[in-house]
Parts: sequence; C-alpha cells; structure tokens
Amino acid sequence: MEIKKKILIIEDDSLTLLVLKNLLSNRNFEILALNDGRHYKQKMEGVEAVIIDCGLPFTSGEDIALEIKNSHPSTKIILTSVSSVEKLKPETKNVINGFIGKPYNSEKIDDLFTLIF
Amino acid sequence: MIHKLNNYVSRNGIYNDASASGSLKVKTFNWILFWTFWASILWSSLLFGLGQTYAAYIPLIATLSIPISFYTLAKKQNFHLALNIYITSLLILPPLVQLFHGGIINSGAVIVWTILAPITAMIFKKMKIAKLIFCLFILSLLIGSLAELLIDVPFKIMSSNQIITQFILNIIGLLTIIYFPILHFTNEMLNQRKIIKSQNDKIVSSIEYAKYIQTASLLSHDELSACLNNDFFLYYKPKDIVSGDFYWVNHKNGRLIIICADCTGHGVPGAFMTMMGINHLNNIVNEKGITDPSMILLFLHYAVRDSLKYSPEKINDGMDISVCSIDLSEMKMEYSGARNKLYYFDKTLKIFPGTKISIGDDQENVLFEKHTIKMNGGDHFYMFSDGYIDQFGGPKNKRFGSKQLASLIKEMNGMDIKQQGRIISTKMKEWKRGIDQIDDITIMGFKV
Repeated sequence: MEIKKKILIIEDDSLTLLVLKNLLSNRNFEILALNDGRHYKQKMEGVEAVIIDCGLPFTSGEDIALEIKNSHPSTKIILTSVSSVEKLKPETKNVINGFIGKPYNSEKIDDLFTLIF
Repeated sequence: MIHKLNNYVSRNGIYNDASASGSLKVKTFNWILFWTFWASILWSSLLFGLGQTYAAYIPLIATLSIPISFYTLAKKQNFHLALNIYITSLLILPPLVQLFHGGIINSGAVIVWTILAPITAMIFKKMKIAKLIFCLFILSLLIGSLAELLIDVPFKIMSSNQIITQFILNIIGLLTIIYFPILHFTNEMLNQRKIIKSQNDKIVSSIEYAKYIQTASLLSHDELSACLNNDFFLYYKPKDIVSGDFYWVNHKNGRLIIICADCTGHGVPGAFMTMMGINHLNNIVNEKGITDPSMILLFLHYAVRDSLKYSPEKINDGMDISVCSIDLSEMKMEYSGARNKLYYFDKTLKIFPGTKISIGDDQENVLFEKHTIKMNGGDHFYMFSDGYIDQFGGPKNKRFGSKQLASLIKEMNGMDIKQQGRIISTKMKEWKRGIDQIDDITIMGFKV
C-alpha cells in the first residue's frame, strides 16, 4: 500500500483551508486541517510538512513555527501571510523552509507544491 | 341549517392537504350525489304512490347506492371507488326501471337519467373511459328501445297523464342534477381563480422585490461606466423577472476584474445562485484580494460546493463563468473560464475556450486553465452567457449559434463599442420575432 505524505494545514480562513485541502488531496497527500493552532501538537505525529497562516487566532503562526522547529526539527514549515516575508521575526525566517505571500495565484500554488515536495 | 348542510356536503371526503383542483373535483361530485339522492327519493315515492311497487324499488336502490358512494368518500376517501359505484348504478338502474314500465314512453323516458353516467365520466374520468361509458349508454338506449318492441313487459298500466307527469318530472329532475352542480362548479372555479390570481399577484410582487434586491447587488450602469471607462456595452435580458445570469466588475490590487456568469437554471433558483456567486466573489476578490482568474475560479468552485453542501450524488447546481483580470499598467490580460469562452477581436477574432468544468461540478482534481493575452490598446473583448447563442428564431426557427455570433462580431469590426451593443440588441429582437426567450441572456463587450 502506498504511504501518503502527511501534511498539516493550519489556516483560519475556512475557504482557503478548503481549497488547499482539496488541491493537496488531489496531489495524493494525506491532509490534516486545523482552523487555529491550539491543538496542533495532537496532530503532529508523522507530519512531514506544515503550512501555517501567520495571522491565526489564539496563537500566532510564527510562534507555532518556532515550537514545531524545536519539537519536530525534520518537519518542513511553510508560512503563509498577507504581509510580506520581511515583516517576519528574524528567528522565524531562520526556521521556515518557505514563505508564500497572500493572495494566492497559480504561480504561488506551484511554488507551494515545490516547497512541499 | 342550510349553511351547515352546504359545509357538510362540500367538505365530504376532502383531505386537509388536498390540492385546490382535487378539492373542487370532490366537491362537485358531492353535489351531484346530493341532488341525485333527492331526485331518486322523489322518483321512488312517486312510483310507490302510483302503485308501481316493483318499479319503485329500483330508484330506491339508486337512493341507497348514493349514500354508499358518499360513505366511501367520507371514510375511505376513495374518490374513484365512489365514482365507479355511482356511474355503475346509473348505467344499470334507469334501464331496469324502463323495462319494468314497458318501454321509453311508458316509463316517461326514465332512461334519460343514464346520460348522467357519461356526463359524470367526462367530468371526472379520462376521455378514453368516458367514451366507453358513452358507448354503454347508447347500448342501454338501444336495448331499452328494442325491449319495448320485443318483450311483453308486465307493467303497462299508467295512464297518459301519469306518463306525461313522469316525463316532466324526469326532465326537471335531470336538469336539476345537471344545473346545481354546474352552478356550484362555476362558483368554485371563479373563487379558485380569484385565489389563484391573488396568490399569483403575491408571488409576482415578491419576485419583483427579489428583482430589486438582485438589481441592487449588480453594478449600475454608472458604476460600470466608471469601472470600464465608459468603453463597454451590456446586453442583459433576463428570461423571467429575475435572472440566473450576472456580471461582476471591480478594480483590485491594480487589476481590473471583469466577470460574466451563467448560473444553473433561470428565474428564482437561478437568481439565488447569482446572489451566492456575487457574495463569494465579493469575498474572494474584495476581501481575500485574489485577482488571478484561475484562482478566483478555484476558490469560487469550492465555495459554491461548500455552500450547497456538496455530495456527489445530489449536486446539479453551479455556474459557467468567464473571468478577465486586466493589468492595465502592463497591458496584459489573464483569462480563465469555466465552460465559458472569451471572444477577443484584435484585427482577427480569437476565441479563448474555458476549461470544461462548471463551477460546483462534481469533478475532483479541479484546475482552471489560464490564458495570458498581450493587449495592443483599443482591443475589443466579448463575454457572454449561452442565452444569446441558444436562442431560437430566424426564418428556420434555429439556434442563433456561436458561428453567427462570431460573424456578427467580425462584421462590427471598427464600430464604436456602444454602437455594437445596439446592434447586438437589435439583432436579437429581429432573430426572436415573436418566439419566447428560452434562457437569460447576457453579453458584455468592452474596449481596453
């Protein structure tokens, strides 16, 4: 049986989450989805990549990225945000594998796939 | 008392949730039963009075068969069984009475009562059955007439006065039974027409209000002019009061987004879909800032599926749509379509096809193709729903067709865009010429 890569998406916008979920599921990934970062730790087992929106409620996406880097150093971390990459904290920039600025376009989605592969 | 009786007879055998036409049918039948019952009692009493005991039993049987029909309606609510009992008794009993009296003349033409069987069948049954019952009526008339000649019947005992009295009573009785239910039926029809008219007025007024809301959610002509620099035409003709087509135009992040969409169906359901489409586009473009046409379609696709609680078995709703995203600073247009095409005239007519997936479709792994067009300035673009090309008309009552639209656009080459809009409108009027519009029509042409 083919083992699918497991990807966690943390995104508070339900439509964006739905679109990303479907796009990645269609590329044969196993998708776990959360609307905020409160319970992400329970989902981290076996996750190879996380896509995190910076502007999450309760906990910021940057803080989650830093936590994941400490607890799961091999997991790829991709941050997404409406702000530019320059506005990220310097320590966050050091731990992430990629950054996708919003709004999405087809080229950025291609970049996202490249980062995950 | 009369009011109570009227209520009792009118409501017998009618379900609370019966349709208006079903209720009218049962009501009319109840009144036919009511008047037949009293006529049979009168006829039976008359025969007893005249000492024709045997013959008097027959209308008495009819008198008894009517409460059975009435009861069948009241308790079993079985209209067809009640109707069959009534028609059968009418086909059998009057000819029997005639035989006991020794023929048509001697019975005062009692057999005329049997005409109620084909009349009732014509009102309530299918034409095929009504015709069969009419044939049976003719057959009973023939048998009755022959019997008069061939059989020596036992009761040729009435005087000519009695015969005339019976004849008059039969005719009066029959006319009464026909007249009162018809009167009742006509009143009911008029009442129902009033109710239907009032309901129709309410529905139309409600849809008119829906139109007001739909119009408010679409850009006005002035707003479109401001967005498109007044270099555009819009031919927007709903098939009904409200439309299943919509257009959406806005500037966002330095781009001009122009959208033309055709939702599943037309009328009210189509209009609901347009409202859904407009709301999602406001969210996707205005709030999320997405201006890539293929992404707009992708987000819209999943938004519509989510709103309609998508399941592969039931979904049948969606929209065909064209999205243009124009970067005026770079004179570049990006186009994506969901089943809809973009016509682009730059010296020659170029047609950009849409991806063969409707928004909200059940297809998995959805991606919409994106075309990039380098503009030269002064180019003409045309976006449209399928209403224009699907409209029947012309000398052979054919579809207008996409080839004819392409030819028309070529013919209009070099004309002012507003003039083109007038030609598009006139051409369709001439094409339809008295034929009903079959779908909502939207064509938007613009110059960039």
